[in-house]
Amino acid sequence: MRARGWVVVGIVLLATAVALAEALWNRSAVGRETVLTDREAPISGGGRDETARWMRLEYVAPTDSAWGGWLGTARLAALGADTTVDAVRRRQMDARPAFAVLEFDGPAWQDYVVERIAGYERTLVGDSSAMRRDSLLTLFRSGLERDSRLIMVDAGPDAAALAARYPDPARHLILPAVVRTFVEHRFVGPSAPVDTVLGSRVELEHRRLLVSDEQVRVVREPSGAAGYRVTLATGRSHAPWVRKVEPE
Amino acid sequence: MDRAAAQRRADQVRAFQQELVLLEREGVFTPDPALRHRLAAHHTALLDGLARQFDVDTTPRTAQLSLGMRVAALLGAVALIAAVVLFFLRFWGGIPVAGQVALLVAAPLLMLGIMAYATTRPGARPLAELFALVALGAFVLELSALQSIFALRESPHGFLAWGALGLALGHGYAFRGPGTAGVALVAWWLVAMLAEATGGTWRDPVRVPELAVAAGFVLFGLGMLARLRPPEMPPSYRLVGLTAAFAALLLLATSGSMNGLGLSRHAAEIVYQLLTLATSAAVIVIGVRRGWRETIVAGAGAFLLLAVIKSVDWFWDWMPRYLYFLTLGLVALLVVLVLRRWRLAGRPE
Repeated sequence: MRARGWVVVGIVLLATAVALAEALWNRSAVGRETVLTDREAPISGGGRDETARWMRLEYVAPTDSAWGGWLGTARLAALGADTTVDAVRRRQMDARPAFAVLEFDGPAWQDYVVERIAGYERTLVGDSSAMRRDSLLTLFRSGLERDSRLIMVDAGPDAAALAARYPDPARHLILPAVVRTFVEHRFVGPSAPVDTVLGSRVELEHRRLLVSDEQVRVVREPSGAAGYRVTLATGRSHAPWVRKVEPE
Repeated sequence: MDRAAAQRRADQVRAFQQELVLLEREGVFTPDPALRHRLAAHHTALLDGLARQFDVDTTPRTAQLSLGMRVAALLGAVALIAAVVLFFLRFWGGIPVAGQVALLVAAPLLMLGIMAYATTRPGARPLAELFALVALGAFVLELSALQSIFALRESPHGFLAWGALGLALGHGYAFRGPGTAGVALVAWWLVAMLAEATGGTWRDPVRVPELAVAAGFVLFGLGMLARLRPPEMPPSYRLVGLTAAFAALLLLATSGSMNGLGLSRHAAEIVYQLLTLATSAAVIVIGVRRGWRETIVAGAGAFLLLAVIKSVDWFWDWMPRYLYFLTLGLVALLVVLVLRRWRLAGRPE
């Protein structure tokens, strides 16, 4: 084979080696480990044209209509985003690498449940039948009991600093993410009909994780219908993977 | 001698043979039989040698068949890349991770092997280019799938690896399709890295569009170098470079607030409209003088796009619709007249 042949083969092998080395280095040590349930980590896939099975992280992301969105201007500035009005007018969108913190079944989830139920009760105030109101509320509560208990609570540029702030791996997941800022317009009133607001959103880089055929057998077996636990690990570079799937 | 020079020589021989027939028919020149025989034997041996060594087209019929093969090869490459991706998706769920990795690495290497074999077969150059494109597609699939399997952090460096393979296929084997893709991928990576270096992130490569303008004109400059080999590659550099530069210039000319020079929106739009006009005119002149078709197309395209965008801004609400389109038609007519004048000026007296 001539030199040009070795060059093209070398490029493919070198790029593959770099990607595999990164993967091996990440998985050479378990940094944090969190056990979730099928409420937070439902497994699906395995269709005719795409046979892989995926675990999808379900979580609640907070919203806030203040300038800077739910992350706030201080956190956005720490990520390197310019949140001044002039900069936002010039660049209406921005995307920066970050780490997101997701809290599992903690105070943030309890507050969220209380807030959702209170909000639903307010919408039922006009309903004249007390019995109907109670049954609707029960239905709503049971719906919440099937929902994911993961809530996004923080994001920052430094995973080590976040790990120090949230030291309990059973309670807090720290995952690679992208923080996006964008401009929103909203109507505020006749004197100033449109207000410009800087919003923010945090997206996990890998919300779907591959699950092996062996792991997924637990979900497929009849006993799997009762539910299952998923052990999610993150490694040296904080990239996550599914370590175990066990029956509940 | 490279393939392009060999094709030029074969075309010259063909034109010479056709002109000789006409000269004889018109009674201007009749070579004696011995000379005619010597010439014919020399040309036959020369064309056979060129066809064997460089796989060039030696008759109009083979040229037409080559064109047909190239079109079919492009369509075939797209279909085969889709087949490779869908094959992998169809079966990877039942394969352990080590098997998935082995399959992913083997796919581009296998395609490169078939490509290398096809380059050694006479008349199989379009087939070789088809497998070069499929190898590039399989390489894109490989790195993307490895990222999914191991949840690796998103990175722009995959574009560098894909671009490097495209460039190696373009420069090493004179394949225009993979070569052009390689230049475009490396250009994207370069602009993304410049965005990182200037305080932005690679996810937003047009944060400072001036960087894309600079990178585009650098690529165009590379495409102007006479030393750049093989001759199939410089047009790719010029086309990708000008497309990137003019796309960024048009963005700045219409959305001046995105400028990275600190100018006000209005000032930036005027500056970049003038710059687009001046550079597109200069590029058309360079293209006409050097006979570079892709350069003329890129320059004229940028000029006309700016003219259409600005004419809509200025006149759409102000004039009746029929008058707007009449003006646009007259401007196009003016461009045709100017180009015709240039064309006539290029004819011998």
